[in-house]
Amino acid sequence: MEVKVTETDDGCEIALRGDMTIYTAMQCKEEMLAPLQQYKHISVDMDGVYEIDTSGLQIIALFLKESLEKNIGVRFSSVSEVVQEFLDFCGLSGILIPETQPAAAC
Amino acid sequence: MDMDDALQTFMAEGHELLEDMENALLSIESDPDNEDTINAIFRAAHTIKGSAGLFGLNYLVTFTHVVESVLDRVRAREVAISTDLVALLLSSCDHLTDLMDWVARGEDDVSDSLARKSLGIEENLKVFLDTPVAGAGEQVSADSSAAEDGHSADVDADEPPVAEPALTEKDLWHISLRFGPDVLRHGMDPVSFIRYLATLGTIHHIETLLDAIPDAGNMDPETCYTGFEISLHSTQSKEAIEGVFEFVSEESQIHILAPDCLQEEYIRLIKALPEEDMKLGEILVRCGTLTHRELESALQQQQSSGNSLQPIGEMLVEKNVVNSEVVNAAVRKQKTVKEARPPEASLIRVDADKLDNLINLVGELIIAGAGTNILALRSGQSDLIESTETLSRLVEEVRDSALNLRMVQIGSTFNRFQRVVRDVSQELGKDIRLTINGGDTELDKTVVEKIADPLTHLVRNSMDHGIEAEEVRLAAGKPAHGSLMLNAYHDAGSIVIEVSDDGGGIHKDRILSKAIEKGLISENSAAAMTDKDIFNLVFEPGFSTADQVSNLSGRGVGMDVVRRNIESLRGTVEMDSQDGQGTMARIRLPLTLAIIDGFLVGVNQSAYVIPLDMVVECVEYGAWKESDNSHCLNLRGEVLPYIRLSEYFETQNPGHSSERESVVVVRFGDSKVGLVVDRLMGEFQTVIKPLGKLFNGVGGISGFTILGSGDVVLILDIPSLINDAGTLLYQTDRQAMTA
Repeated sequence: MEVKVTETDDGCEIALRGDMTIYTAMQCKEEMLAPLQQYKHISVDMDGVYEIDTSGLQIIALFLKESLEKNIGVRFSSVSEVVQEFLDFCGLSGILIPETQPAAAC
Repeated sequence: MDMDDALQTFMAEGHELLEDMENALLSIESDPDNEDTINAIFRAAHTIKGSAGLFGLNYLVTFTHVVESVLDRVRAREVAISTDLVALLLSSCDHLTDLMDWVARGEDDVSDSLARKSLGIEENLKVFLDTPVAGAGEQVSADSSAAEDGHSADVDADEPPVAEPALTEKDLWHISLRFGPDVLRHGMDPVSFIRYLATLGTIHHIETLLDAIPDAGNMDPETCYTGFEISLHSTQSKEAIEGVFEFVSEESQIHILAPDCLQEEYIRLIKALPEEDMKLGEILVRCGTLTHRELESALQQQQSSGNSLQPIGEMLVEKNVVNSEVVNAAVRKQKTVKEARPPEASLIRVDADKLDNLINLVGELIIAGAGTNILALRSGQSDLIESTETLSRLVEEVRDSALNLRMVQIGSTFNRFQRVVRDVSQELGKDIRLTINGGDTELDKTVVEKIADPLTHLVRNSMDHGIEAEEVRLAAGKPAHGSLMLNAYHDAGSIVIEVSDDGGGIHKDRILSKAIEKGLISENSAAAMTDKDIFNLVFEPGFSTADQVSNLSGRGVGMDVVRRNIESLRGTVEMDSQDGQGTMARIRLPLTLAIIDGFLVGVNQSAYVIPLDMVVECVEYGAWKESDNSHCLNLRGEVLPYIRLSEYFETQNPGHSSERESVVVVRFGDSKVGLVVDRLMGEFQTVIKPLGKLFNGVGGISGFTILGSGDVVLILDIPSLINDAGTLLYQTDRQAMTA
């Protein structure tokens, strides 16, 4: 699991690569939530996530919840098929709406 | 979270289940009405599917599901057992084995050939799903099994089966899940349970509840906070749905509401769950399990029925009632599974190395015990002698049970041949039946494993060359179907395995001419050969008499390999045949035990051990002495060749002459030989130690052992001594002639 944070003009981009499972949950939570302390606009690239389980879903949900509370604009630039399929299966297809605030499910 | 170990167990169990399934399938053909067998087959498929689901092996689940659906119809008597169906199920079994191997290799993608095979078999199986019900047509069940065709759940979701009445909201199960906080830590992913649930029917709607996630500071990423509300369309029973969550049922809150359950149950569910009532109500509406109107009326009713809210205690009791039902069902299920399982499934898996280690220790114990015995005898204290005797008896019992641990019945190896015979006879277009005898004969596990290949070859050979075509059989006045027999029994310290057929037998002339043609023997020596020698020529390398080379046998590369394999187990193989009556291959294997009962004999200053099983009797030498040079005794009118061990091992002391020599008569197979020794020293528990490489070329001994006194003694290799006795006889004749 690799979380790469790159600074952009108005905020940062978080690129996730690898698996978002229970094995990487600790690291993933820490590194993914850290940028929320600094930036006001965050773009997330999940194209490189090839495996996800419930713990990964929980981290995405936490990320969205925190960003909502801190009033940070979050955008999901791209999402891998695996993640999209997982979210569709859980009935959470709309959770990663690009450019807007998280949906009601959270 | 050691999934690797769990996966190993799954693989081992899976293979066992597939074996059971295959055996059951083979027996069902002859006994199609046996419900136990049908259930056993179904259970095997069902268990494999269930376990595969837990490991997220979706490909395996999808395929097994189709197999299971067909079996379910068989179980419900909607599809009759036929040869075609059994053949198809057998090939499904094979394919499952291949899929298991694929899982074991840990490859990510299913290879094209495997995928194509899956599709092919599934297509064929689906024919049995679509056929109308056998007997009085009960259309509904046929459709329901199509509806639960879970692997196509995603596709089917939008188009309910035609004959089924359109899905009403009331047809939906409602499943409410709040997973325990440690579920993820225990290596289980809640979503994979739901994916597996999807194979039991069609998921209508899933609501994932993430409200329970606390703020970032308090959130532990390894704790599970997620809940699910699911509506499912399925024809499965409540137990089956509960079974999906069996592994997490203890730590999680699971509520399963049947399609026909009362409104009050939903209210109770809403109350029991941690989320707000109103929100849950809306979720239920979204799931399609409740309508808006129902929800409103229910909530109103709840409020009016008392501002006095239901006491918490009562709610708990109610919840307990639900739980106890679940518990009872689980207990019942476990009980039935236990009762139905075949006895061998209650075994414990033990590492073979641990057993070897135990047997080594028992060996050391015996040697040490023998030493103590000697000391006790020497001390002359009667109570000490008595207690060491008790001890030796116990050690002997420990030895027997330790050795028994390694022994397995040959039956499971034999049963595998049912399949071989079935397949090969179809391939050859012959009707051949296999009879198995002595399946409960036990032998060492390593031997059982290694004997399977040579046996397969002998069986195939018998079927291909031995048993004639139907017309030939009928013309010879034999029954149309050929018989093949596998037989096993213990005989003189070895195990004998016989493969016999009632075919045409071996043609001696054909063998002889072939052997001469191939230059294996000369024409002169051919005339002097006994029948047995001639038959055993088939084991010579490069020998084959089949007029036609088939893909089974006849290339002449097989039989010599069979003999080599058997000889590597220190066994022997021989052929016996009667023209027109049949052929029998007889394999004789040592029990290859690490510890045997031995018979200790003394020759001059040294001692030797003879395996007690091979000893027939002991007689006094002097009484039978005929002539000094003949190397033959007259044993009650029987010619008995003998070997003087002191001469054989050249330990002879020229000036020494024992007052009273004895002859130990030993037997191996059909041959007997006498061994002349100086002293008979009685029975002795012998721990066989292998000889070093240095002794490889030395004949007549097979190992050594250590006496209680610490002396090393050699163990005699009776088969090779019997062989040598024949040669010795021949040599003395020549000496007598030249003298």
